Amino acid sequence: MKRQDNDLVARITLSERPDDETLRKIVEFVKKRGCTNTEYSIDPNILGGIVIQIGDVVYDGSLRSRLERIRQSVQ
Amino acid sequence: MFDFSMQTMILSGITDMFERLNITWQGIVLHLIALIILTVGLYLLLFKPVKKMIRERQEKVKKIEKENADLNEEVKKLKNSTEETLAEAKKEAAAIHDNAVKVAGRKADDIMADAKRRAKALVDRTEAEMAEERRKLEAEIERQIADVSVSVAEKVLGRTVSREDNKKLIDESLKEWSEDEKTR
Repeated sequence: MKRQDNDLVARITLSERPDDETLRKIVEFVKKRGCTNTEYSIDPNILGGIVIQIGDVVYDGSLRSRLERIRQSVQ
Repeated sequence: MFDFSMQTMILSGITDMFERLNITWQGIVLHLIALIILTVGLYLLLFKPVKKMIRERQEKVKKIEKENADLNEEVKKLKNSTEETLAEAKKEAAAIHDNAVKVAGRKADDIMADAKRRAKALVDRTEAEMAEERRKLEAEIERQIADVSVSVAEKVLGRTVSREDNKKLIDESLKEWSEDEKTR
């Protein structure tokens, strides 16, 4: 099926492949925000958690971003 | 009281002496006239000019004395004036000296106060700079500590985050984002 230009794509980054239950929750989350397509990528640098980009909006729940917030609050 | 005969004798004696000296009454009269003429001539030619000269000398001396007196008076006045001027000058010099001492004292005080103010400003500035440097250094140390801590945490977490932990993290994030959007 060919992707339409106006389709909203959710770009999902994970540190490892999730189990089916987690995958279902992720799909449900992005569908509620109008996304019809998803793109997954595995990046161990995020250490853990999840990063979802929908259009200009980024949901960052990675362990790296949490550590970065801790570092900024300490400084 | 002479006796008449005795008077006669004296007169005859004088007459006799005049005769022997060849003195006659005409001669006496002539001598008297000559004496009068001489006296008048001396008076006119010698006594009067000398008297005039003496009077002029006296007037001149009086004039000189008066000039001397005036001069002495003037000198005395000048001396008094000079002394007064000198006293006033001394008084004025003392006043100028006192004023100069006061002004110098005030200037010295001002210079001292300014130097103290500058020194205090320098000390304050230096202390502020030191405090700023200390604050920067402490911030830098804190930043480095945080960096090191986070680096260590990253390495530890990279090794120790389990699948269950990761699943839990993802669930929490999805739940949190959903609740955030509901509350908006």
